[in-house]
Amino acid sequence: MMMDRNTHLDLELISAFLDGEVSQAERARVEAHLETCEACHKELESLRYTVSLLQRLPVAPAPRTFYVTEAMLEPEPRRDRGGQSWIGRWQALFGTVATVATLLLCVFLFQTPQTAPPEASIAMVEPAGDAMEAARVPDAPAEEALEEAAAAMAAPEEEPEIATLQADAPADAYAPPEPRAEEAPPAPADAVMADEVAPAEWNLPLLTLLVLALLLLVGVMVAWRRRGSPG
Amino acid sequence: MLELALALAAGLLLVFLFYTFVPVPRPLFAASVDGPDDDTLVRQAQQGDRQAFNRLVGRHQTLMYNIALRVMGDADRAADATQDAFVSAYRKLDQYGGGNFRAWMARIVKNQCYDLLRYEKRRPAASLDALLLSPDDPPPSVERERPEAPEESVLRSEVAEWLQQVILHLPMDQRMTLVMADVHGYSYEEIAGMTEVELGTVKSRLARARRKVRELLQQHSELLPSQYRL
Repeated sequence: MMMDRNTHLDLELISAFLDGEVSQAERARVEAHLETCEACHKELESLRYTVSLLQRLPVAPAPRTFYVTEAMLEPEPRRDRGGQSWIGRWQALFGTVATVATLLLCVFLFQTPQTAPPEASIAMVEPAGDAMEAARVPDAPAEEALEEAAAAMAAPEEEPEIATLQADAPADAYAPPEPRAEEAPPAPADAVMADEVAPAEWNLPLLTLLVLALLLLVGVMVAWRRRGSPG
Repeated sequence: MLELALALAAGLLLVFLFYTFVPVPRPLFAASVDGPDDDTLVRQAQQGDRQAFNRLVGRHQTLMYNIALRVMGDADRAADATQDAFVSAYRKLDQYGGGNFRAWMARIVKNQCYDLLRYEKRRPAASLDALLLSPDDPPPSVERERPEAPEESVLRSEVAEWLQQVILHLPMDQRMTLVMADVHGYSYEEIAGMTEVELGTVKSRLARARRKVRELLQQHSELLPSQYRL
């Protein structure tokens, strides 16, 4: 915006001068400067020529009419609908995160009571009593282990302290006993049972996950309701 | 005396017939002076008269399409943007505050173009050199020999296409300002209203855009016919 004769005119001022978008005072100063400054005069002329080219760009006829019909007004464009609220735009992400969070919650809920080490957890599902002893004997046939496991299941009242563990016994009893004998150390079954009967501890991450999952599910429900509503 | 009166009556009749049946050419972008003005039609449309709104569409569709075309650089996408803009304008007619429907409508077209460009993968602008040096075109030297009046009102098609590609090389804000000001002749104040920026911002954007176009014209002047060189 400098008007000094020693400095050239600012391009923004020349551009505005070209359009007549300057004040009277600015106009007078620019005109006075242009009379003595060849460089600014050339700048003005080149800019004027550029603008004249742009003004001569051809006008394209409209390829069709753009009348608004009833059919155009009925369905809401998907993009506009998504832009109405941030929750609508991110509802797919909400749904995915909520699903993952819910699945993680289920995994945590099932795993929380099992605080024993992996070796103990394998031993935990062994059929108690005679079936467990049979499993420790590598030479014992699988049929015997199966029969003994079935016997243990048939009389759960004899060993009430491990009743919760026997639910898994039949499924494992069908497996060959050899690998179990290798994996399962001769850990005392009583210690394992002591761990199992301990009450489950609800830790903070689990509660946080639960709240997060519920919030996300509510968010998805709200987004779904908004999506279904007209307008 | 009777002959004079008859001749006068015949002359008056001819003048009446001429002004009644011979169409008077109007500027392409000027809104029709027939019928109610824009704001009256908007009020009718706000009361549910879609036909009134479509009269507005008929008045302004060429200008709006040309704005979209210069900003988008593609006829199909420009048509889509124009149609979406009119539908969007009809939906939010209650937000129109009156005064200048053309400027309000142009702002919606601008926003529609922005949205479309944002959602679509922007097509890379074609090479400026390639536009005038493609193998199918005659050499530029041959083109330059064609006599052409310097004051030609409309650019030749290949020069216009080249200039369009130059426009597409500008940043979006500068492009919109340049198209509004230099291609369609909007005032700074109107552009400030459409683009929702200060008047000073319009000035600086327009100056930068013009400088960029001028630089590209100078850099590629050898590709242009002689009468278009800077």
